[in-house]
Amino acid sequence: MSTPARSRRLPQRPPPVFVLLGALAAAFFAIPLVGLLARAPWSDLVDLVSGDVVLDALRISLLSSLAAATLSLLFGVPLAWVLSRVEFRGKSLVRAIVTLPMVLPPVVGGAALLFALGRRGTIGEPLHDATGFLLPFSIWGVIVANTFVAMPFLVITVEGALNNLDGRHEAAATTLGASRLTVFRLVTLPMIAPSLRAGVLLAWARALGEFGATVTFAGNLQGRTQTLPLAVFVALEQDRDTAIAISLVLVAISLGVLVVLRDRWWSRA
Amino acid sequence: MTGLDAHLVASRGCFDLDIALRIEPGRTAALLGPNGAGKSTAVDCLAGLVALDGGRIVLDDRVLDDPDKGRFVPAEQRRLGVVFQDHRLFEHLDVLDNISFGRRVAGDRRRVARAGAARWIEAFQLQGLEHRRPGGLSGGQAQRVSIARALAFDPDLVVLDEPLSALDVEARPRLRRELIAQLRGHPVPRLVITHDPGEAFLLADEIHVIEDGRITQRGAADDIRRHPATPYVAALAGTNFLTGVNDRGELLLDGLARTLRTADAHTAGPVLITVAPRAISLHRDEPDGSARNAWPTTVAAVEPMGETTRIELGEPLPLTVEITPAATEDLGLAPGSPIWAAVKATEVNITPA
Repeated sequence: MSTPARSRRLPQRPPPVFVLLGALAAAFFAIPLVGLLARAPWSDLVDLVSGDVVLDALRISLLSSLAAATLSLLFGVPLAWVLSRVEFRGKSLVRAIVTLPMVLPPVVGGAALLFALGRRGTIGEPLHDATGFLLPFSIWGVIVANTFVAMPFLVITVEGALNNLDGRHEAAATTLGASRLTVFRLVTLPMIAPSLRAGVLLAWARALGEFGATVTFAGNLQGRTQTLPLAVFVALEQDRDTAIAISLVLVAISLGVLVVLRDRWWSRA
Repeated sequence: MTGLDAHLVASRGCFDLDIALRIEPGRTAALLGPNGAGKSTAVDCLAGLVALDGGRIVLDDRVLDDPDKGRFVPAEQRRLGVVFQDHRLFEHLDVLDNISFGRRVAGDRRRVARAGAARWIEAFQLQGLEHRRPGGLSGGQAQRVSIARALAFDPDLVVLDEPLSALDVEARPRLRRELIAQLRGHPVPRLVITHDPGEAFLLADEIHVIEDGRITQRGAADDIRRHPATPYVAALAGTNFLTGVNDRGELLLDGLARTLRTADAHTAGPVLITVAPRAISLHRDEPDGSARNAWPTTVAAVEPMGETTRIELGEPLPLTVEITPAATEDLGLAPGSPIWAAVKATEVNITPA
C-alpha cells in the first residue's frame, strides 16, 4: 500500500491575499462565538442551565437526535446499498427524492410531513382512525422530522463510499464462500467504516440543529417536543440570559463532539 | 474426485469466449495467452462471477454451471480457491483473520477459525506476522497469505491468476519455487492463468494456449514449444526453454549431457535458460569462432511455418531453430541430415529459476 500523498509544502511566504481573506473567514466564524461568550451570564449559568425548560429541551434534543441518527443508520445504509449496487428504472428519481430534504427549506419539509402524517394527513388519518396513534406534537414527531432532514446526509455519504469500492474485495470474499449479506457485514461495512462514521456524525449533527421541520410538524411544546434550538428561539423573546445559556450548551455539545470525533474518525478516512 | 471438466462459452460485448478445459486432481494446468485473450473472463466464469452463455462446468461430478439445464451454482457455493493477481487481502483484517476468512464464513467462531489458521501460518512461514494488517506485508508475504487464504478453506479447485506478476522481478524465482512446493501438497486440480510462457513452463504440467477467446493449442510444455500451432505460440511459447545450473558461465543442463556457455557468469544456481529459435544458426561444416557454442548434431524434423521453417535438432541438444525456407533448401535439410549448430553465448539468456 502506498502512503497517502502529502500535500505539497507551500512556498515560504503564503500569498498575502490568501492570508487576509482566510483570516477574515476565520474571524467571521469566531466573532459570533466571542459575542456569545462575552454576553454569557457566567455567574447564573449553572442555575439557568439546570432550569426545567433547559433540561427538558436537552433531554428531548439528545433523545430525538440520537434516535434520528440510529434510524438513519438502520434504513439509510440499505437504501445507500440499493442505490449503489442495484440497477432499476427510476433510480435517479429515487435518488433525487431522497436528497430533496437537503435542499428543501425545512419548514416546507415539516409542512409536507404534516400533510402526509398529520391528523388529517394522507396516511396520518387512517393511521389515527385505526390505532389512535398521532405522530405530530409528540416526541415521535420530533424524531420523524429529525430523521427526515438528517438521513439524506448519511445516504449520500455512504452511497459515495460504496460507489468508490470497486468490488474486487467483495468478489474475493464471495469466492471464499461468503453470502451477499456476509460479504456486506465482514468486508463492505468495515471497508466503508470511515465514511459510515462520517455519515452518522453528519446526520446526528443535522438532527441536533433541526428547527424548521420540527416546529412545523411536531410543534413547540415544552417537555414534549421542544428541542434545544426551539428553546433558544422561545427564550430569545423573553429571557436573553436563558437563550445565551442554552446556546452555550449547544455550542459545548457540538464542539465537544467535533473535537473528539474529528480527530479520531475523520482523519482516518 | 474427478477434477475439473469445463466448457466455457460466454460473450462480453463483442468479445466471445469458447474454450474447453480439463484438469485432473493434483495436476496443474496453465492458461497461457496474451492480454485480452479472455483469461480473466475464463476465471470469472469458473468462479461464478459471470454466468456462462453456453457449455458447462463440472467440478468433481458437481455441475456448477449449465445454462442448457438452467443450473447455476452461485460463486459462494463453488468452493474455488482463487488467488488473485492483486491478492485482494482484506485490509481491515489481520493475517490470521484473512487466512481464516473462509472458515469463519462457513460458520466457525472467530476464535476457532483463528486457531485453525495457525497451521497455515507455519506451513507458509508467516510466523510473527499473525497480527499484521496486509498493508504491512511485503509482496512475497502478501502472496503467501493470499495462497494460504485460498487453500485454508479446502477448495475443490485452485485458480492462480497471474500469481507472480504483482511481485518484483528479483523476488519472482524464489516465490515461484515456494509456490510449486506449496501447491504440491494439495491434491486438487490447479489452474494457473498467465501471459508469461516461462511461468507456464515452470509451473504447469499442461499448457492451454488461449488466443482471442479460443484454445489454439494444448499439450505438455515441451510439445508446445517444439510444435507451435500458431504464430503467437511460435513467437512466445515456441522459444527454447531449458533448465540447468550456472557454473560461472558454464550451464549444466538438466537431463542433458552437453553444456552451453552463457555470457552471464553472475547469475548463480538453478536457472531457466531461454534461447530464441532465430538465434541459433546452422552450418554445413564446423563454424569458426571460439567464443560460441557449436556442436555437431542431426535434424530430427523439418516443419514449414509459412515465412519461416522450424528445424528440430536431435541429440545432444533438442533445440528448435528457425531459419528461412531458402536457407533450409540451401542446406538441403531433411530429417536425419547431419549439421552443425551454433549459438552465441550472448544469445543464451538465463533467469534464476
